[in-house]
Amino acid sequence: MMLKNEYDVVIVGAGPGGSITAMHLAKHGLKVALLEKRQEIGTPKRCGEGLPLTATEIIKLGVPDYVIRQPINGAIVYAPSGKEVIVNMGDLAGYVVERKELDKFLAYEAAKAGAYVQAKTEVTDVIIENNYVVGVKAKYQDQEYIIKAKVVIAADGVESTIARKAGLNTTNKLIDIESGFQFEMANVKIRDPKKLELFFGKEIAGRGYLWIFPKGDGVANVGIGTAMTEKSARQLLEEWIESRPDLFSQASIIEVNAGGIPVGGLLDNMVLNGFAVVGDAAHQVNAIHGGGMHEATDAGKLLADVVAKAIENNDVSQEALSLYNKLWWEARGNKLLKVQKLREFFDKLSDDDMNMMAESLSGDDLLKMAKGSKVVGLAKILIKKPKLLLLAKHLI
Amino acid sequence: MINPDSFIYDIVEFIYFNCLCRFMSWNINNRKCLSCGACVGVCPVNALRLTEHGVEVDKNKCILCNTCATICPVKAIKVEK
Repeated sequence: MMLKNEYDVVIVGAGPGGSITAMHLAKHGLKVALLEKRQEIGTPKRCGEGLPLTATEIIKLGVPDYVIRQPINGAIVYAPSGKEVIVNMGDLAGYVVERKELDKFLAYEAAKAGAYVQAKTEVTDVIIENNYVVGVKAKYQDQEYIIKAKVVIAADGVESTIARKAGLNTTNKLIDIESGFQFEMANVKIRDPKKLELFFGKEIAGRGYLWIFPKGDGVANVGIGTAMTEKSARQLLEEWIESRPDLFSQASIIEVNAGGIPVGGLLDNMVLNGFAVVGDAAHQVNAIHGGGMHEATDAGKLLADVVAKAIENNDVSQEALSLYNKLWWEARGNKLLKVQKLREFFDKLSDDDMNMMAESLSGDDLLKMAKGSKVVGLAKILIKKPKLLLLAKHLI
Repeated sequence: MINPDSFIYDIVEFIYFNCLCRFMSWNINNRKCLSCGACVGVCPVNALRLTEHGVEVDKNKCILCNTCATICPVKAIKVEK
């Protein structure tokens, strides 16, 4: 095997966050190993597969045609009453992608930049000496490795076990995580092949939402992200599909997937001596829509620059690496915190409240909210309902 | 609440982990499990591990808190009391 026993940086997990971090570190001229536990990078997917154009770290690589399934120009949001708000986002807002292919494409890019990528290689533990993380123990088939590294980066997704083994508490609180369940379906009745469809309602989706993301030619990623419900995510999705024969009476199930989606609990500190965490593992997710590819890759770029600098200066202490904390909170953290507050506000809304908001808000307003910007008319709507105003006082 | 530093707390803890726990167990249905890892991320004592064949529990660490069962998207985990 080509896996060596010493690298500048070892990255655990070859999702978008891990691959982008590895690619940038390799471009800085460092020796990088990117290790993936699964036998095939990208599989199984745990994702709605929406990739916004704002995820510039991925988009600027030139996403190849075989990854893109469907260009998207907006969304249709359905309130519990069925009232719809159409969000138009110009000619092109992003893509629905084949996530498995995307993950592989990003791993190819990391490899092309000079990182060494290896699948089916599980990192079982981190090695700590003198309070510094100095390497990892890994397993490939029946072979065991001890790999030394100046910096270890955990990009191991929602499980986030590596960070906890290194001594950083990244355990998800139940209130800050959603259960996701998702089918890829064929022969779905799709209203507009260029629009994502989102369905809200306490009855059908608890505090989260159901989605239909079109993948072209009647194929769609149909799923739910929810939490704090009596019923399981699977049961809610199956019941909803059953209740919508207008959309699904002819549909078949091509793929079944599940996942956990962190929607809160942003970390003030994401580094230790010789260690950092990125992506879902660091809860870097937009709490309103649950999208994480954009956040993980943006953070990955920031982290790679900080780590490269630290290694160049021969100082990988927590203090040196904490520049990543500062840069990330300035660039993304504060925005995401606002989005999280907004999500907490939405959690408290009843179906009636949501219907009323759907009546009064435009598609543009919803878009701004999801991005964490201020909505000019929001105060006006809230003032009509004193109860909402009380709930929303920390938003305005 | 009992003060965690007190002697009584130690006794209660002893009874819980040595007696009551014996009547409780978890049950993971690997036919339902889709190996998504949501349970691993919420486990407060890091007792779960994702393998190719589903989820493994470190029974020495597990405190039977039911958090994993709550998050599971397919209700593949049951903690039985």
